[in-house]
Amino acid sequence: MSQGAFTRMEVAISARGLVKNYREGGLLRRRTEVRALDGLSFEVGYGKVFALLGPNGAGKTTTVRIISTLLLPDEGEVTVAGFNALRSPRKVRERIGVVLDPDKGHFLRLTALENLTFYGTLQGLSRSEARSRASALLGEMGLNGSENRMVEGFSKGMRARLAICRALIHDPEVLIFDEPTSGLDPISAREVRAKLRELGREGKSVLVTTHNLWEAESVSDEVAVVNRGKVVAAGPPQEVKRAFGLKWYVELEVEGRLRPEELPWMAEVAVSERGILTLKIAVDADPAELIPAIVSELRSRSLTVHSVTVREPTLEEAFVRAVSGAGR
Amino acid sequence: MLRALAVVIEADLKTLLRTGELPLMLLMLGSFQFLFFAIGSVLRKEEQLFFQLTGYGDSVLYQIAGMPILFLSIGMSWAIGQFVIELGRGGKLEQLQTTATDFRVVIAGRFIVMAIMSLLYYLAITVPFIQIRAGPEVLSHFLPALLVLMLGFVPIFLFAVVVSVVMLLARTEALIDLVSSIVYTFTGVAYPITVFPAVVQTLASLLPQTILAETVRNIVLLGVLEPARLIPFIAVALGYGVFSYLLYSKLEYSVRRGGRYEVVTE
Ligand SMILES: Nc1ncnc2c1ncn2[C@@H]1O[C@H](COP(=O)(O)OP(=O)(O)OP(=O)(O)O)[C@@H](O)[C@H]1O
Ligand SMILES: [Mg+2]
Repeated sequence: MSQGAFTRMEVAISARGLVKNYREGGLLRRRTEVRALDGLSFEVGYGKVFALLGPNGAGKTTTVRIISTLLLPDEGEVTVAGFNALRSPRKVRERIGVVLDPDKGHFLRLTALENLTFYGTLQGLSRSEARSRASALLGEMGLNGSENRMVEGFSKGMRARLAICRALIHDPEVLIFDEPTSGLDPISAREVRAKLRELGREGKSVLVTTHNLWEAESVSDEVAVVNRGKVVAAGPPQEVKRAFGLKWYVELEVEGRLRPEELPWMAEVAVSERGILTLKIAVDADPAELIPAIVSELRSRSLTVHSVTVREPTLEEAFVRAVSGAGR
Repeated sequence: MLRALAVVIEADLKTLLRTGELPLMLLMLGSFQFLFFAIGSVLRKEEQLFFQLTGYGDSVLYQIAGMPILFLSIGMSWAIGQFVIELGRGGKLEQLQTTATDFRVVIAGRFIVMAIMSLLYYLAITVPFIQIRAGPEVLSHFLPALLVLMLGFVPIFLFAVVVSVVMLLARTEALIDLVSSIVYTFTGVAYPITVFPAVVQTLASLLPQTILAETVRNIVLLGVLEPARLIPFIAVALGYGVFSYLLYSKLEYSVRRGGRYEVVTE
């Protein structure tokens, strides 16, 4: 009991050493095994938005399904909101809201409001509680005009928003989203991301998967880069970048005569039509202190500096490194 | 739990009404029953021999009174199995499994909806045909028949759960057709089981349809209800109850292990 309470205060989701092999084939076909997870571990702190980031087939959905109590791993342990997801699925289900495929899970011949009332009641709310909460959520997600329309006629974006309402209907402490923005247009996707950040601010613990690095960076407090069923890097987005030894870039637009080989730094140079040069200099650490030195060096060579831009390393690069570095 | 059950029933009824499946189903079953009635009335049969075999004087009534049990049985098996398949395809099964409500509550809701439909069918289609053929004196038999029918839903439902679970485990829909033909041929809903060898008769009496068909016919056509007849009912219901419970647990475990909520049944 005290153990449970302790865990609950420390971490919302903990996955330790998850191994999962899918068996394909059967009686008449040859049995083959696909290793989807290969000792995957991570922890999501309370009130944090955590992104599982990885390429197709990395094992993100498999992880999400295990944490959502839909799938049993071959090895490993999972606790969600202080309860064992493998042995006490009911307790976990009461405390989680899940979006598996934002397009699916809806009763197409029921209206948006009926769908939410249905799921809310199954989650233990009374009918009237479920209804009023459903109305409020539909309003928040911009679906108030469509609450009495059958879901059959909903667009993908509307279904995705309804799926989020459904996950939130019983106000769970832990939220699990598997690629909630897949297939959405930029505007809908932005709304979904805003909602994820809002949930984080409200103190909900959120696990979200994505293969979009920019998305992971923009919504999450922490990321875990997953490849071939393993976490290959984890931490706040900034730290992950540092761990991967990623470069910052300083980009300068300058005018004048320049021989790149004479410069004290390695720089890529591009020339635009009007004779403006773009210098791209890679540096290992935050270049804030280096910029004045770079600018005065260029000026001393009688170059006019028009603009200076600093490009932070993106997770994109971390991702490419992690993916190409592992097991190849 | 009851709240969840109520909302499941409501959602299921709404869906049924909105798809327009319901009138079509009733029309199909109605015309089937009418064909039996019409052909049976036109053809001359050896009613004397039939009486010797079954104890019933009218083979047409015999079939009409038994037929709803066949439909009930097939309907239930389809309703449960197809229901689960349909839920799986739309991603609803997974979603339901992440809620705090046991999936069995959803199946129970479906059962109640099917039971209501079956009663409607019995009242709207079977009762009038029997009335026309047997005359007004059978009118008083329908109420007890209805009660027994309702009692009989339970073992038939559990039987359907067993069939559906086996179908889902084996991942083949064809099982329903096999079961339907067995039920049609060997349970005495259309042909008297007394024509079969003793072994077949014994096996047939383990199927809830056999017991239900015979009991309902006894009541409707002969006006006889022996309380002793209810004992096999309860025994069979208990047997299927235990069996379906065990099978369900196995299915749930196997689905959770394999992660296959979408039953691929080609
Ligand atoms: N039901 C299944 N049966 C067999 N293999 C599976 C099954 N589900 C997933 N796999 C395999 O397991 C591995 C991990 O799949 P998973 O769906 O978890 O990846 P993912 O990171 O979610 O990928 P994506 O970005 O494409 O959604 C893949 O190699 C996949 O082919
Ligand atoms: Mg996936």
